[in-house]
Amino acid sequence: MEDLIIERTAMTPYVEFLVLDCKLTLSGRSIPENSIQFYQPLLDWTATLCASGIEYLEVHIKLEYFNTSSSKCLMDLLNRIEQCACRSQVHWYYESEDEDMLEAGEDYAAIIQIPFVLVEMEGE
Amino acid sequence: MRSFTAAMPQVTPTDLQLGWDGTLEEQQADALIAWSEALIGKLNANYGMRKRAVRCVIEMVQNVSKHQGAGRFEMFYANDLLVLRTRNHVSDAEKPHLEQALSDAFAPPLEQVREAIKTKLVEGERTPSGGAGLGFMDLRSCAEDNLCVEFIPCGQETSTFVLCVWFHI
Repeated sequence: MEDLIIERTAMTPYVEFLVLDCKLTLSGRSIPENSIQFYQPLLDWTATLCASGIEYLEVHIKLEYFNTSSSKCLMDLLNRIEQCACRSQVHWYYESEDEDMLEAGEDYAAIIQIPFVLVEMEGE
Repeated sequence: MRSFTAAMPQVTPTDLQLGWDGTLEEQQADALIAWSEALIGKLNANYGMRKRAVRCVIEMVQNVSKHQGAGRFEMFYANDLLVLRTRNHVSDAEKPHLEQALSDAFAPPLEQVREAIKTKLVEGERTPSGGAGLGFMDLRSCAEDNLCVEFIPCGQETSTFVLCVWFHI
């Protein structure tokens, strides 16, 4: 199994899914029109990693914007991690002035049964 | 669901900051989002409000491009009022689905929209375009209910769907 690295674009986030570190990072903006097309390889990769018997998975989500279509895909990704037998933790980053991104993190944390760490970053 | 006669702010053609009319597919949508973001970034508004306005642009423009591939997008600004408006054709066959989505989105009072979005995230069936009927709810939340919609009959078996969102900067 290989790392999954996808460079960021104006519409899609930087993806760094690392096998040995068991660490998944999404950063940038996630506003593709076809979010399923973008996220399906990420979901498949995550399922394969989980099936490999890892003990711990660390997730870092540092998004500036995401559209509602991506919000459903993020939910799918977090669901998949939740179903993984390993321990996991999600680090959800938000800018200090971005109350909406904080609330989004709180909402996912309330839905998904994975420990969430809400990480405040300095704003613009 | 509120129609235009209810509360839409008045804007004039001279207030137009950015307008697009015609083919509106993914490439055009991407450009419009980038141009809108640049213009909104110059407004004397707090960071949170500017981000919310950009989020609305993303949802509105992609709503047109995903479903119709053509339409109009306009951004007006005057007297500390930012108005975003889209127009696109909707066939009579498509209209009931859109009306149902609007009805669902406008059903909860504004203070319960966040909870309704969470419920949709968990339980909402994914639509063919990848969402789960979250777009209009997100617009309500972002614009704090400063939005209105209208179906204008135009020709046989077609309506123009107009969506307008505004922010007091």
